[in-house]
Amino acid sequence: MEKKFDFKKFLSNNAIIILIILLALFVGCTTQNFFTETNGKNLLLNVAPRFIIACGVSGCLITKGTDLSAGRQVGLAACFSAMLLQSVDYSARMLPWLPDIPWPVALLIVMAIMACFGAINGCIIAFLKVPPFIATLGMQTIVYGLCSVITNNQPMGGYKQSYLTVASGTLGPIPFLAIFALIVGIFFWFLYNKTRHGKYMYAIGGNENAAQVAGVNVTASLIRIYILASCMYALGGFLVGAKAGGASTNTGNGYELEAIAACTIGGVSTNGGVGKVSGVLVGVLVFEVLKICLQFLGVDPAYTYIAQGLVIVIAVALDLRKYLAKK
Amino acid sequence: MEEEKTTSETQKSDSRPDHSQLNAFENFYEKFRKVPLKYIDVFIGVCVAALVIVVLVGILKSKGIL
Repeated sequence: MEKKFDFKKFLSNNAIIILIILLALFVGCTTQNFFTETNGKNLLLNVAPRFIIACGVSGCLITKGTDLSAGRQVGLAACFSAMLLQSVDYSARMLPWLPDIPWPVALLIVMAIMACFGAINGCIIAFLKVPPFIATLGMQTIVYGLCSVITNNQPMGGYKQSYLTVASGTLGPIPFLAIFALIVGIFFWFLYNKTRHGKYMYAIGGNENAAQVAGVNVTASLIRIYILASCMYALGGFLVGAKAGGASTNTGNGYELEAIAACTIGGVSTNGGVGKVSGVLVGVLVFEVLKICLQFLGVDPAYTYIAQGLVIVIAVALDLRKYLAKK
Repeated sequence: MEEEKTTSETQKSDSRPDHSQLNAFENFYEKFRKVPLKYIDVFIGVCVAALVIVVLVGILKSKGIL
């Protein structure tokens, strides 16, 4: 039997995406240079690190958790990357005794350090049963304080060329940043859809007690999810630092809310058990397109924040609607 | 009769989830359980209208019209 297309349901499931597409079309028709290659490339460069961070957060959301320390962890990772990858002949080098190290090694070091923070988050949530909201809020403040101590609240720059090339380089027409995002996207798609870990994750999000009874090691799964999330923040911070050409304690500020909002827009339910990598990508794209549209329209920056906040409220209201419609 | 009443009450209470098992979002969502979908739709509509107004005001403000 052929299924009838439910226009109302389609509209309710994709309201924000439709709204942003309409806004983009309006901006494209009323302003110059919106539908250009440069703008597209700019969009891609902005989306890439945010998508990586949102992928990390999505795992936490699917298991009914959240990670409010994401943005600050991104900032700390950017600062660690900066300390490890400053040019040897840079006069204001943070660690003058440090030998020149290649960027992949620095990336691995930063990921290993940040994984420890993820493990702490995971252990607090899984063993102590502290609500993820509280546990990660505490970690957010700890990481920010730690970042201030390590950097003496000084902005860092003077990166070596190979690190800057990570953000500015291209492979043919494709920027390296987009390649990083593509690899992460494929990895997460495989992880969520083709591995036992992914199935456990959705099971925990659906019903933690039922998953436990069914033999899922909930504790280990949660710890793995938070470690992986922190590794993604490390990669995101590494790329954000390379893209900006500098890092400070304020790097990554507010990224966690953008990531959570992007996931919610993309259909990752804050109630857990639901979410796809493609949805996360759409969510990040929608949020970035909204920002670019508002810039092109010349909207006062203060109003831009209000508009972004309203989009988040609409996304949560739509999620609530879906939840209530199911009941 | 009394037994029937007790049974129906038990069933009623069983249909409500155990709040200790819910996360913060679910607890929040559960508060809207009795709110008709129509009202949620109206709220979403109001938010969309507010978004459009904010964007328009932002444009007019940056151009110095407001």
